[in-house]
Amino acid sequence: MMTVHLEVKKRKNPYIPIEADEIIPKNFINKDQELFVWRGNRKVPLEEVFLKRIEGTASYAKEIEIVITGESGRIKRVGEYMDAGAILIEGDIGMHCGNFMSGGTIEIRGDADAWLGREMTGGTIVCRGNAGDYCGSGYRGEKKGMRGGTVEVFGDAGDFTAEALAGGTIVVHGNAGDLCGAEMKGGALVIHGNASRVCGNMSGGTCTVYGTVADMLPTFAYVGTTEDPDSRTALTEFAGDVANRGKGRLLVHSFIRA
Amino acid sequence: MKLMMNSGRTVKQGEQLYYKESREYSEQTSLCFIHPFDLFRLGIEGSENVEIETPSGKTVFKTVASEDVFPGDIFLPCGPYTNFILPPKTHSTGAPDFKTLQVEIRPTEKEPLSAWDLLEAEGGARYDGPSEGCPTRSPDGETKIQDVVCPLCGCLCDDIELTIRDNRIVACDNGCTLSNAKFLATNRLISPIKKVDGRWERIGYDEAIKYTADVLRTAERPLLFGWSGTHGEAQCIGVSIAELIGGTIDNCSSECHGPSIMAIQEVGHPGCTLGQVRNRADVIVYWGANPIAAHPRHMSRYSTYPDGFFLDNSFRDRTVIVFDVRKSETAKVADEFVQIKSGGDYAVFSALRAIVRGKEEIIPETVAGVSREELIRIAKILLGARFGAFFTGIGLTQSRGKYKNVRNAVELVDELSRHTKYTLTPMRGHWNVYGTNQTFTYMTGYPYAVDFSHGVAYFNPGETSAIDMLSKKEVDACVIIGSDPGAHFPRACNEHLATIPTIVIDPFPIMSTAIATMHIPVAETGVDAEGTAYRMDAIPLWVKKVMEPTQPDDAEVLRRIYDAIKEAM
Repeated sequence: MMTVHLEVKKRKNPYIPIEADEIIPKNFINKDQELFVWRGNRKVPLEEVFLKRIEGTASYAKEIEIVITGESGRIKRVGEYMDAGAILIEGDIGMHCGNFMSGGTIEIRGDADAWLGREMTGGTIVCRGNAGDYCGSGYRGEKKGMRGGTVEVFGDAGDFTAEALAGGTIVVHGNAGDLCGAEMKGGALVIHGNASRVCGNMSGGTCTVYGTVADMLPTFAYVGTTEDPDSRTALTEFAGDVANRGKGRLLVHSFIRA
Repeated sequence: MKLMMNSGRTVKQGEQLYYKESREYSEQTSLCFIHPFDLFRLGIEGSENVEIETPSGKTVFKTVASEDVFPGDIFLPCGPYTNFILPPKTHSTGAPDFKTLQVEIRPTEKEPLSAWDLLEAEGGARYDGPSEGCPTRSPDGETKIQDVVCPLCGCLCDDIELTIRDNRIVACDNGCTLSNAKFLATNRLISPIKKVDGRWERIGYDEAIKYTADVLRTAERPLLFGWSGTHGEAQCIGVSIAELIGGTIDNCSSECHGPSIMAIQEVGHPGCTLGQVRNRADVIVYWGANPIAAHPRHMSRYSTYPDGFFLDNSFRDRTVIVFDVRKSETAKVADEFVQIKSGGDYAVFSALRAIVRGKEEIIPETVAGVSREELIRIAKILLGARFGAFFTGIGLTQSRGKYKNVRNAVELVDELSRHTKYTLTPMRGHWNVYGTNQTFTYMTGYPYAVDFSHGVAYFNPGETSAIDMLSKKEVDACVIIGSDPGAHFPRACNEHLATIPTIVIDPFPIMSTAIATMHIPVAETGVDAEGTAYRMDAIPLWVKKVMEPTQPDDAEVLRRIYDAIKEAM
């Protein structure tokens, strides 16, 4: 087993974003491999931004855990295209963490910025804090967002969470923002708190909101009431979005009309 | 008391766009239109002052009693006052909440500050010296020039007649009130100025260009913003500079109709030329748009009043429908006005789509303040069209939901087009903002917010858009050209611009001058400079000059900056 410790160094201008898509476990199998990150428009060695320390050895990515500490809230694209292994982020993480991820585990102990797990196809992301906008969504103009895997957010999630969700599961334990599950095509979105205008234009998949939906959209057809078997919460079931042929399933605890 | 704020264009605010140093501009942009019922609840009357506060700040406005706004809403003219209290949060879409923003409002004895005062509070230094005059040169005697293209709004009216005498434009015929104001504006900046210890000093063009090139070459996260107020040829050089320095180039779309483009990227653009609308359309829909204030000749040239080749009695045969959150000037002359609760557009689009689909039975009694019966009646009018045209405004792109509102509009047009013919055209604001999208796209593949930091083009509004980058303090050097973020960006962005090297390239002293380190004056396109512009329906037009310049134009200044960077690399 190998543990890679990456501590973010103090920077002269901490606001310049760092793009670190090379921080994925398989890139550390060869300890001597030269890795780079982008600091603004400058491509610099990984060591210029991080203090690196490696313990142990590994032959496969799945045997590697990367631990990131320090001021990492502006570090983007960590775990992009990750397929195995683990990444533990002790603090916050920047945009696009876990983009296109297909396997392995990312745990974020702080908050995650926007586009967490964008278009991921497998693996697990656990965010102990809040997630920004577009959690589990797709890129601009993309027809499908997240296609597989699991994202679990213990805090709140931002607007457009699960936009165009096509597979996998997103669980938000807190509140979610506006227009979550917009254009949803498949998969499951579970929100334990409140949200607004959920699932606009959805064409498939299931969304469950255990709190209150504000400004509930008018184009969801009432199906009936049901009881959630786990929480024994009474839920109202709708089919929708009827504006878009209405093949999705929306279950809400309570709602206020737009 | 908590109220819902919407901001937007007024005619008077638009007339002052090229007179921002004036007292009138401050007065017109510090108004607060409020329903008499809410004035009563505040315990004051019209023309008294209120302090409006958000988590980003507070400032004083003068109230105007207006029954055109919903009780519970206020309407503020866009400009430095509204932006002084505007939070920079864009919901990762690039456009902040210029509309549907909850604010706290209370009576006050304080008077509104001046616009320059606000910019100084944001870290700037005013530039309000006496008018320096007009650097243009005209032939001897009086000259009349016909078929001039107006470089004010996206209509690009091409029938303007100008009278020129004594090195300046003295009369403007056929133009709207905004066009007149722009053509007759003479308070140009004559030579480059640089801020030294908080005071402005005149410098030469060579020094200004060298400074700009050095700043851009050494920056790690440079931003080139604006471009909507210059011609296509200059925009192309701007893209080349961005690529050369690994910078981000963004245009005004990111805060106005960028969300429309994001929607179009998702579901396409059922567009047409304005000529098609003029000659064929018998149902016109303005949604979240007020052309009488922002595009004053749109209705008379393209949509409502002109004769149409395929219509027997154009004016009487047409039905004009306005959807808006307030009874705007356009709503007052429309055949149908549908007043929607602030932020309710998305729900109304969805409801209309379902009704057109024949699913009216699931629609609740009211949707965002509009009754089900009203929606069914309007849907019938829409379906009865032989050719219908939607014109969508920033009432959709700047309110909650942003691009999803426009996407839903496009999907409604798609649905209606299963029954008859419908099109949709965004009401582009700046005269060449559509040109920025055209030039950026054919040079980079993306219409705005293009980031070259890795050497290749990357686009992601919310991440690479100007307001997001500035409010996160990422930008370490900025060039502003053909736009005025000092007047139209949230306070947090201006506060950051005031801390970094910021170079303004513009014919006039503008609000952004205050927060810049340098201002390079240039010839004005359509007056003493010329180039290509794209109308709101993507028709390219040549904007000609009507006088000779004594200053370089945008393209020349940018070319010299490009050459200076290249030479130093």
